[in-house]
Amino acid sequence: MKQGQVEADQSPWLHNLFRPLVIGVMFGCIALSLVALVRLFFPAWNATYLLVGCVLAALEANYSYRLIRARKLRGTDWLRFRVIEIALLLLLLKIGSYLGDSWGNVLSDIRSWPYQADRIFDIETMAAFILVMLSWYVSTQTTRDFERLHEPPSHDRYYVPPMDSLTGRFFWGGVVLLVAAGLTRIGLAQLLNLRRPSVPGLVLNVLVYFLLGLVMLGQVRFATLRKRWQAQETKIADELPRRWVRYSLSLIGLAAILAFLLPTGYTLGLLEVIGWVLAIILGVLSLVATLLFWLILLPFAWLMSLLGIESAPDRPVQPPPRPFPSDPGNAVGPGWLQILQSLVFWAVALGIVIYVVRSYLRDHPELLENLAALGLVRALRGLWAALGRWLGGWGETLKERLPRSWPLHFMRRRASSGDSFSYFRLGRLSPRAQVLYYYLSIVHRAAQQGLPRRPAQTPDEYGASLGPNLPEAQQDMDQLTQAFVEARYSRHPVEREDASHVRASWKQVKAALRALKRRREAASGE
Amino acid sequence: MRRFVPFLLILFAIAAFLRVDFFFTIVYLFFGVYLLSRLWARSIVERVDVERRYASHAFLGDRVTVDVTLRNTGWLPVPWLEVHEALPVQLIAPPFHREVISLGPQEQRHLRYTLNCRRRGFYPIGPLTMQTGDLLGVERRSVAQAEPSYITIYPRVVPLQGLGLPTRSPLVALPARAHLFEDPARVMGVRDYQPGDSPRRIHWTATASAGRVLVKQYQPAIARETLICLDLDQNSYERGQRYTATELAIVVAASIASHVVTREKLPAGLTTDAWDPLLKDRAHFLLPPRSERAHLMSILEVLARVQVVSQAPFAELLRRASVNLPWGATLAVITGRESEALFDTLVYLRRAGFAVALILVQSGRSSVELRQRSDLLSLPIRRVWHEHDLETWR
Repeated sequence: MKQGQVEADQSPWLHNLFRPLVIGVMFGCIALSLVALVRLFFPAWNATYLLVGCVLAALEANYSYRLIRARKLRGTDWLRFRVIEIALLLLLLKIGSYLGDSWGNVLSDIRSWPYQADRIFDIETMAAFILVMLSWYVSTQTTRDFERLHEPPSHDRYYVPPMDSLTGRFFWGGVVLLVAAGLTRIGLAQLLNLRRPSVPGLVLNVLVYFLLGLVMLGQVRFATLRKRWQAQETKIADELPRRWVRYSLSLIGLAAILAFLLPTGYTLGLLEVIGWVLAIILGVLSLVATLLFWLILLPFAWLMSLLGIESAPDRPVQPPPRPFPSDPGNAVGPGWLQILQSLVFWAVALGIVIYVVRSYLRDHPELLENLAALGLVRALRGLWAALGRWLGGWGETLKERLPRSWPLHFMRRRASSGDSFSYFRLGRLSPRAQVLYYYLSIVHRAAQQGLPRRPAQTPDEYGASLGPNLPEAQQDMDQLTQAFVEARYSRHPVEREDASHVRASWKQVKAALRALKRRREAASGE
Repeated sequence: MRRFVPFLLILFAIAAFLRVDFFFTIVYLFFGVYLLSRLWARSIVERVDVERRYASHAFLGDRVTVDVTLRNTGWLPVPWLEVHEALPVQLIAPPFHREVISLGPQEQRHLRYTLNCRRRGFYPIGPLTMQTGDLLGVERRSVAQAEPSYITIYPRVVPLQGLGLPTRSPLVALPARAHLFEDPARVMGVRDYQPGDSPRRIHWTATASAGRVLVKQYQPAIARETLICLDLDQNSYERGQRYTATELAIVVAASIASHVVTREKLPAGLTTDAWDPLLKDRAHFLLPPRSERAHLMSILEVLARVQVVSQAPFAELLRRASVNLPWGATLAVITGRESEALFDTLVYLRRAGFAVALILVQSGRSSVELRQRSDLLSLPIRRVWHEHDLETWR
């Protein structure tokens, strides 16, 4: 796309005023914290001019970059322009450093320059110059990236898309700003003291920096997309730029409201909060246990009083243990409100971290694969899988065992736990459940007579082992076993008629079992 | 933006280490932006309804304006929506319509473009792909697709002066109604109801007995029905002229059908074996002869979408088609190449009592041998290679 067309597409206000101003103000926010940090070491340093210098340098960098591009300055012309520009910046900075000094002091300082060259480039001036040049350089790079947003991408292998470059610079600037502002607030001496109290209060320059940065991100995103759409000759709706700004501001505003509503302060660390939560849970459990114990002992105490047995002389009643102090002003530990506040804070914070990490890994499956390939993660996953298999094995065992005994118990329980006058009615069960009941009741009865079913025995094996003891009902036992296997392990429909046939076999086997019992009793009597 | 999440975590770490309360507000600010962007971008694309309005059927040479309505049914605005509608290259250049719009809550927008119906066919309009995302580049793009709809462009219909097809009816030139050729006093059976049958033909007693709608079949006095048999086997046309010849054969079939129904007010039908882009499979079409205009449109619709197919023996198609035809019906046989098997079938059909005409869509002039054979078999043979050849039919 032609350069002229690109420039025509951009609003002149955005290009000439808004963007340079945003860059200048953002760097001013960083400079403010940096200056404040430097003043921790040199409290007497009047650095107001430095702050103004940083902002002006950022604005000047934007202007000079565009001037160079407009005039197409190359080679020595470019070098001359830049040298003059930097010299002027240095000069202005030096002049700025005299602000607030008396005229006599300024003159005497200037007179000493020919004899003492180090008075021109003293430490203060050089430190300020480095800071201003940093502002100037970053601003130049940012302006260049903004211009690159409208240019086609280069095929250079080291090419970094302007969007990445701008966001990276914004993020790293933010990190520097936070560190500088944080150090300024807590002081270097307290840096490694992890038990220091939190620092309350609004940090305005930090807020301004990040709000402006987010607005800038929105505009950068729009510029990137618009470049692509224009390259594809896609028609863009007229109202889109206006709405983009409106919706971006709404989104950021909404996020800001959310941010200001959430708790920020905490008095207890994460481990302390976990400790308190555990203490509360244990306290509640011990209270419940005490109550239960008391309820169990109560009838015994009443019986003993009836029998005239005196209990041990009453000891003074101990007050119940207080798992947590209720007085916020108590010096022993934090108050309820503080615990609650810390609890909410850590819940929110951990929720944020977990959500962000989870969604990030979900969006980047390749990263997840790389992580999974790490030895430690593999080992942990192996352990987890082993645990899962172990639990699964237990589950399977339970599943194998429970169905054999549950239906019978369940049927009886359900029958007994219905209305108070009802009793177990076999006819109410479904045909399939009836068949299961017939078989399991036989197993139960046989087990009572010393013919239990071993855990590893299949129904057929059990039937075969039971058959010789019940010769008169062997065929019925076989039919019962087959019906049970079909009802338990197949999806074949079981009709009422089938259940009634099985019932007949069940009765025969039951009668045979009773006969066996009688025979055994008779044999033992003899 | 890959760096957003790492940056958020770094912010959190700095805030937790330095214990400056306000830094947590900044963390929440970024998390809020992240969360809201994700939720917003993911929910909006599913709330956009797409509706296309256009004439789904058009004649060759028409210009069809397609109006695509995009409606945001949700209460959240759609900050940007990149819409890409894929279009058939035969009807528009470039073969897509692309636009970026923004939709407020409950707002709707119209996208309009015009299709030039330059070639008969059955064309998909769409699918319409919609992409959207968040405003800061935090979330990946969400993509949704609206199903394509279709437009049918009828083949060209050339007005014929006269058809000149053979018939056994002495009344062929008269604009007589169909009942002249069936004797309603002589019911010879019943058959299943087919679209286009007059309700007066319904045999109510038989219908009630059979449980499905049955119509009476009268004994024909003399049939004046015309069945157009179109050969779309690719091997029936010269390789170098296949496209032109098959398209012309379709124009011939459409023109004959139109002439028979609209000018002569007589029933016309169509049978062919072809590739059907609607079914995305080969299909056997048999539209029995009817004289209603709606039926003519059905024939034209089939002719609009059929494509050549391989391995479709035409002689077999003719024999199958003749089974249900009444005695005396006319078969207009349209093909690109004559063959012994074809002549054998045509002779068989003549002997079975049908009037048969052969229309060869091929270049060059009729050979002496072909004329001799035409005279010998009393089989009218016409050769067509240009549309104006049809206009000169008498």
